[in-house]
Amino acid sequence: MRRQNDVAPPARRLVGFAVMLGAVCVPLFFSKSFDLARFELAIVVILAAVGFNFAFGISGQLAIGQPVLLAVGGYTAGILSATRGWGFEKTIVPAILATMAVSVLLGLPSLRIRGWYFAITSFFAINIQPDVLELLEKHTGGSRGLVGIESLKVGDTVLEPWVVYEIFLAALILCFLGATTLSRSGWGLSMRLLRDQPVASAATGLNPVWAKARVYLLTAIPCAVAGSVYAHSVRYLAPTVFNFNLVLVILGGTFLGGLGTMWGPIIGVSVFQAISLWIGPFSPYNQLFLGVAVLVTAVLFKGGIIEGAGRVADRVRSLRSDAPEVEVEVEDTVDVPSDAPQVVDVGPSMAQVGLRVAGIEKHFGGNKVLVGIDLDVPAGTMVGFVGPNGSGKTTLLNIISGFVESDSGTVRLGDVDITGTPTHKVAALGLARTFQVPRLVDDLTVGENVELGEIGLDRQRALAGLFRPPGFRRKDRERAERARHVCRFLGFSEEVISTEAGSLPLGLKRLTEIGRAIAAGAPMICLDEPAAGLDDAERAALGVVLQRLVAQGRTILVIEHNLRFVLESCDSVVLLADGRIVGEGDPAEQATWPSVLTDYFGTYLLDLDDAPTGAPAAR
Amino acid sequence: MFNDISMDLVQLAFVTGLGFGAIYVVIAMSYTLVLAASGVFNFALASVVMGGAVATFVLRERVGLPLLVALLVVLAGGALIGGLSDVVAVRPFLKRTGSLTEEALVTTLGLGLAFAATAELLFGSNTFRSTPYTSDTPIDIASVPVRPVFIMMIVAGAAITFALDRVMAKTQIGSILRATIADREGASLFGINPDRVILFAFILAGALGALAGFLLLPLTSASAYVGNDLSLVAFVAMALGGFGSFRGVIVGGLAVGMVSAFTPVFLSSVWGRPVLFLFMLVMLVLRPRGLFGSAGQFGSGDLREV
Repeated sequence: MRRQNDVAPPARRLVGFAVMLGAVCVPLFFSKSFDLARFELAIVVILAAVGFNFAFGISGQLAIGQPVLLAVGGYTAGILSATRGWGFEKTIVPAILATMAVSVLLGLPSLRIRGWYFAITSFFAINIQPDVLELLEKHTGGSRGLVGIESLKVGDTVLEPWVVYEIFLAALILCFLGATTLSRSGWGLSMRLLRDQPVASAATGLNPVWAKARVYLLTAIPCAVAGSVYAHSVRYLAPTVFNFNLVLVILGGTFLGGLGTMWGPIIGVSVFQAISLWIGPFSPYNQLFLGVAVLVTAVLFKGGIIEGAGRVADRVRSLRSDAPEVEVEVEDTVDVPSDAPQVVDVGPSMAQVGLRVAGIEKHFGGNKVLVGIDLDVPAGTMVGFVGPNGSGKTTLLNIISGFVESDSGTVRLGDVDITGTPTHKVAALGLARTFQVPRLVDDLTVGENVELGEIGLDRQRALAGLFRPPGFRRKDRERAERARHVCRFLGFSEEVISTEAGSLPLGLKRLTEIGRAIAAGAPMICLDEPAAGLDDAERAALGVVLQRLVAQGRTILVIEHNLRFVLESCDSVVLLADGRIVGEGDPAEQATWPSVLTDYFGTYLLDLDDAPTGAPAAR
Repeated sequence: MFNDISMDLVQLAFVTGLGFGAIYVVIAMSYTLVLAASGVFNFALASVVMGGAVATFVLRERVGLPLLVALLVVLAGGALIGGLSDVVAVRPFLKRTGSLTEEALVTTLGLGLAFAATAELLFGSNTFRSTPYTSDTPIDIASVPVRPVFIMMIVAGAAITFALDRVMAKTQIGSILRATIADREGASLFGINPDRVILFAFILAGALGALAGFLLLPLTSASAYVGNDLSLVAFVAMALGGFGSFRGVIVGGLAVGMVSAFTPVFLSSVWGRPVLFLFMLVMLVLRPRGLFGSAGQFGSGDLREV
């Protein structure tokens, strides 16, 4: 399964332009301002859905407070206009700022709770909206509504209804294009990592608090624009305008059209909105329809209309071309081809660093997991960390990379004390890691997943992602090229590089994650069981790749169960048992090993005696 | 500042808070039961509570059934709708991997709103006072006059809570439920069918919700809008007490009842929901696991494993 290219195919583009053109021409067919107002209200809801789709579909934050944001944008513009006589051009900026502030406030719980728990806090905010407006009656007019808002005009001329409509449409097109370019930028890619793998996103250097805050700031914009244009156009606001039914239209419409697709929210919300207007927005039948429609949509339209249409189109194409459907076969083994690059040159010249762990203690409740761990990983070497299940290896790795705090002891990366430093800062200081279960974004390609390693550390400007100036695009292209280079270094074919990560076998997923760590340019790399699930050939290939990295000055700590791999590839091995380090040794000098180590490796040592030497061939 | 607030008012608010709090505990327990068994927040339960109130009114005062018969019918109806919400809105997702609980949020929300809208279509948008279940002459308790309806709510709420606690702790059904809650896969290895346990939790929760509606009716009167805020009330009670914790919702439900009853005394009734919202926000940001919940479980963001 190949991912579609970033650039939409010509046919699809044509349809997009046709839809836009049709929308522009609406005033030719509906000239009455009453009819146009219905289209404008629909555009308001679509704008809100575009924001929701970016927050949830792309970034994974189930922030569904859009009705509140619309109200904040509308009321801010409305109050400023009614009290000071400001026109749209003056109220839009304060409206956006106020909406952003409320958006971040509503997003606060998402720092502590996930998914639908967070969504319900937004529902609550929507429910108290009339109360708050009532409490601020002096400014908002309470339940009587807010009147006296200036209409949209240029100079002293009030704009024609059709011009007002085109302004709504222009706002939609701008926000749509902004959301589209942003979600295709590097920043958009890293938001997908935040969505699917929040833990891994921190490990690539993404500050979770800032990342979420930026999502809330950005998704406030379409709502603020929609709310304020609406206020100036209708010139009257009441607490019931942006009500809970909008949530159903936004949720149902986005699910129907296809969550996370660009056109999904527009198509789906249009359908919902059309039916809803036909029924009559305030009839109980409307609520009945919305409730049932949302239920049915979520149950039946998994993936939405867009995906369904794509499947149908594929089917038609394959029927027409009369050729059997071609499934791209990905070889599930990799051997590093001889023409693969032997050097990865990523990032600025990096200083070699070592890792030094001293006196680490950790207990969970009464259970002592780690007792006085001292571990030294000298710069430019590869150390294998072995031990039985539950001996505390992964816990130590989690302490090193900042996911878990130790009770006592220190961790030093080079000269820097990183004890208790948050994960994203540890990553920025030059430590990259992988996970026991690979944490990739399934619907991005292997190349893009590898790219994420570099993106996390890049202080990506969301604003630059929004406008993509030429220099920014060049940087994007160069970064993609570097990621491809890393992939080739790992022995990936072009075929594999452009495959969706989700469809890969486990071994390749592990290698992709290692690629992400390499692309981060980190001098220190920690791998959690990289050889698990690899066959003999893949394991040998992995060993070659890792030794090349070490030869280029990187330092690697490997947690591994595969003893053969550790013996073949590492410069030294450390044995952990029951939370203590019980033995250390150099694989090349097994004769000097303490007996506890020889006992643990057991038959693997005998196996290796048959091999020419313990030392790997590729050094 | 509060000099003009009389002692009577405070006593009245206390009794009101305790009465509503007791019912909120029952409602929040029904949500917790479903959440703990399946991880789903069943929005439709609020509509079940509303249905319980409206159906009791209709059966008793329009059809003329005796009170206890009406109660039994209402309980059966609640159980039916509870089970239905599992089959219609949750079951279709259980077999799919991925974000079951997020999709179930949308489907149970849709189902709940559809129920509420149906009730509005059938029952109209009127509010009907119901004949009280007992006499309405206040009884003096420690020289405070208390309306009997509150005594009924408090006693009934406490009894239901106690009974549910006993059922969970002592009976076989309770231990099956607890085993499934603790470890769904582990339980299925012991021959427990998690699907059936989840269905049972939904049914029991539906009956509890309908019972809460029955108990609320004398105070709220019968209208299609009784359930409007109850999902949020349950959510706040769970947030305060800790998601998935049965002990937690007792404290949480009572706290919500008290806050709702005392806000009008000190501020005004318009402040009621905004104050609850602030309580919830502060609690979730400072201590997302609530008072009795466990970290990393049921949505609180503390990661348990990497």
